Amino acid sequence: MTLSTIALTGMVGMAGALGALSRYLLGRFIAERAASRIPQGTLIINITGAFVIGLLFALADHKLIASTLQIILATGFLGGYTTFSTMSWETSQLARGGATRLSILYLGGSMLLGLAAASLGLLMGGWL
Amino acid sequence: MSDQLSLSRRMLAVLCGGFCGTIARYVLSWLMQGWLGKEWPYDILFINLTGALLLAFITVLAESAFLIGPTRRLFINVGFFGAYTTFSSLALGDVLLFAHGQSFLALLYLFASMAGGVLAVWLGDWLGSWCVKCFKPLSWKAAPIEEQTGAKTAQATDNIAGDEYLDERDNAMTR
Repeated sequence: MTLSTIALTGMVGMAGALGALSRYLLGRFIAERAASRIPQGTLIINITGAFVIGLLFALADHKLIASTLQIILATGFLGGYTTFSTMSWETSQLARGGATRLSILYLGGSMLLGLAAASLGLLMGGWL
Repeated sequence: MSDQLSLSRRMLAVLCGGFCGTIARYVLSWLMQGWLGKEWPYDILFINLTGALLLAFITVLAESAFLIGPTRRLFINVGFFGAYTTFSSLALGDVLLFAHGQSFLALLYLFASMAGGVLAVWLGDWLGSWCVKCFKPLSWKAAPIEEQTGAKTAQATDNIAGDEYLDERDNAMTR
């Protein structure tokens, strides 16, 4: 392990910490205002994160940003910002609460919109 | 007595958990890519499913106030497992599989993640309830319950939960 590997790991970790904090604060902010049973906070966070990761990938592919920066922002920040575990947990809570249809809608909607957002990010990054 | 945790303390718990969770994912993903190759995103699938299972497990323990207090819960659930698991890499990995013409693998990855995540949560819930059922009575026996007054029992549970409590809204968020 070289010094630069350790430094990069540390940077990824710090970016992830900031991503997690953004998720927590934005999630709270949305939860205070949302009036739906669908967990809109996680939905919005995951979709925006998927869009930006697509954008970053395309930008790094066209050599517009350094791959180190892509790792710090994508693996670090966006990895910490978006979450899979909370989404799965919320889905199972909806199903357990009797809202089976809503839980399928939430999970399927998250995945479809997430894939669409990542594709859109890739396309937009390609145009830039 | 339900005094709220200060916002700065919560933020610090999430930051520290996020730091550790992100590094755990980064290192584990790097190791798994070394072992299994980069062909198929096994690493993210494995990370996401284990994270979902452990999140559910910890949540059950936290809700029965067994071993996990509110600060620890924010650190572990919101910080660590929130950052350890990732949705953005999953979405990007899947779109890239589709883009490379590997539609079957892309669909498999998608459904394994969706169904696997929910199953992992159920398994984690079940394991957590089992642990609470088996081990929580032991920790209660350890506490002095000779005088079986209501006040004493309430005090004992307070000590297990720690001295800080979250308000209702935050309780919903920290799951």
